[in-house]
Amino acid sequence: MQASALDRLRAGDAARWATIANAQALSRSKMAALAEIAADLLPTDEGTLVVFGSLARGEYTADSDLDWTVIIDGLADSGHLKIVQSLRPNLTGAGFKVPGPTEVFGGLVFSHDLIHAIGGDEDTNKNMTRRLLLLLESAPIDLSGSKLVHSRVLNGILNRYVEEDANFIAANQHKNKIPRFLLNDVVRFWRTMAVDYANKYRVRGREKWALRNIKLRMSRKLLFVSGFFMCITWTLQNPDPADEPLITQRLVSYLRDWTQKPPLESLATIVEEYGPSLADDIFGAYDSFLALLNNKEHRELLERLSPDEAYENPIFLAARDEAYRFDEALTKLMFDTDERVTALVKKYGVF
Amino acid sequence: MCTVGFSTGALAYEDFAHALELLEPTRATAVELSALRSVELPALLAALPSIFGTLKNRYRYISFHAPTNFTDEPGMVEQLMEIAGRGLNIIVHPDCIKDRSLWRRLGSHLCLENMDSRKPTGRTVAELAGFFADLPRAKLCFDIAHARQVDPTMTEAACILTEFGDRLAQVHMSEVNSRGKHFAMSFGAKHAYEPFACAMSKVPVILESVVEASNIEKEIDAAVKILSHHTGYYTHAESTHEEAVELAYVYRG
Repeated sequence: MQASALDRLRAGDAARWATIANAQALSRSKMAALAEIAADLLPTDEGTLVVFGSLARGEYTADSDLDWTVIIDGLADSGHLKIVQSLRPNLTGAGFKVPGPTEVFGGLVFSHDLIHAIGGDEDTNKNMTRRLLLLLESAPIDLSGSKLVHSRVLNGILNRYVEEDANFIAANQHKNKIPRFLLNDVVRFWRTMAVDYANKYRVRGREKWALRNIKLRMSRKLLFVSGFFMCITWTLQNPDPADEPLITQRLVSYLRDWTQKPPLESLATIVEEYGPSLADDIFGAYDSFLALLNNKEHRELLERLSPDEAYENPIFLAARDEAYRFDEALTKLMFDTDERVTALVKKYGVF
Repeated sequence: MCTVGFSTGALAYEDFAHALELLEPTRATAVELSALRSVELPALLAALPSIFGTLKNRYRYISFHAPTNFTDEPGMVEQLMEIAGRGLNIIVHPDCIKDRSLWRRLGSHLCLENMDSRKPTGRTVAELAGFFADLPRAKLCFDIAHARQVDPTMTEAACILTEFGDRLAQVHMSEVNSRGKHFAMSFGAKHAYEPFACAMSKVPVILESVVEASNIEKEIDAAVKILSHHTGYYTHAESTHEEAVELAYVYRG
């Protein structure tokens, strides 16, 4: 098997970023368990069981919950609800923690809204969240039908962004084209997560505030950065002009391949190519973040801390310092490593 | 000039002789002899020696579609060797292949078809890659309708041609619904196929659209128009000058 970019950055030192490696191993075993649970439940080629969150990112730790959705991409059938009803007790029985209270996960979703309702009144916060998380941190369980449908839905969503992007209308021949419609949605989602973080404080008070704060600085920011690079790096691939009649398919294929990698691995490919000297700050900080989540005592402490308490708490402050390190290294990656990358970040990152 | 024809299986269910009769008076320049069900094979094999010469005179391209419901895999390959001996491409569904080593005997006459979404394998680049790795001389029958059914955005179709385009030997064209049933091509299907005209026009195209006899010519015409898309010209030998001018205007415009 080909070494991952993250492994190559480890340069033979298997102990480097060990918490990330352990979380990846645990994620693989949990995915295998899920495949067994769902093996006979899904329709052959019209449904997929997709996981999101830490499991999809390959960052599953001891106390992680399971964000999952059954996506149907095919004929409507009232019997589909039974899949979900059968899954829920099986997942609980296998020791998976149930999704959070937002109802974004843990149910049945149809591909139609994910593909058709992009923007406008029909694109609810819930629909946008599902769609963007599907692109930025989702993984189908390891069953061939589930992978096929997941890939098909990803293509459907990405195709909408590309097909309706003015940059990819045939007559538009300007250089350095990127999928801007998609980038705008990625940016919108990042800002929405930040706004919803503030709203959750208003709705839920101190409950899990400090944990959400650190997650926003780390795993949520990781999603944004991965999505941002997904959009701007297409033009760095020097697309072959002879491929122009199939440019939509080529770009969708590039984006789809990106979305099927965990965001840490996507970021590692960028770091490896443009800023290998930043690897320790980026992945070292992220390793510390996962170690914090994997420490039951510290995690529970963060779940209890109010904002006032947090800024006097050494665990929170240490986590915040690691988040600063992560942030500063990412900023350097964008602005101080490669002229072409910086030019694209300036061109597309603001307006 | 494009080479376009029909599968006998699409024209007459389990009756290749009748299908050939239906196709004979049309402008088809290719034919695929279909024995999709094993029960069809003995009759087709028995008839082949007597009809092969006539078919070779009538069509520029002839291929053969192997059965998909056999149990005796070595026996099936043995029977197909007779077809290979006549120099025909033999279209095989990858999901029917259990022991890949058996199929190496067919050499470059073996033509693997990308599958529709109901099949357990052979649908995507990832799933086809193992078959081609184990059967290095095998060619590709690119079923663009299957590819569209698997992925309506045609991204997987583009990936298949990128990865295995150098093996492309023929194309299957039709429209396939979510249940795998073949139909005449709709507006949406034609539109989706047009960007692939350049690659598809280089090899024979076999239509699998299930159509009435009265619509055979219409479906051939539709295929030729799709294939002509990349040049902007309507290139079929029997198209009229007026049609050519009109279509060139439409495509260039």
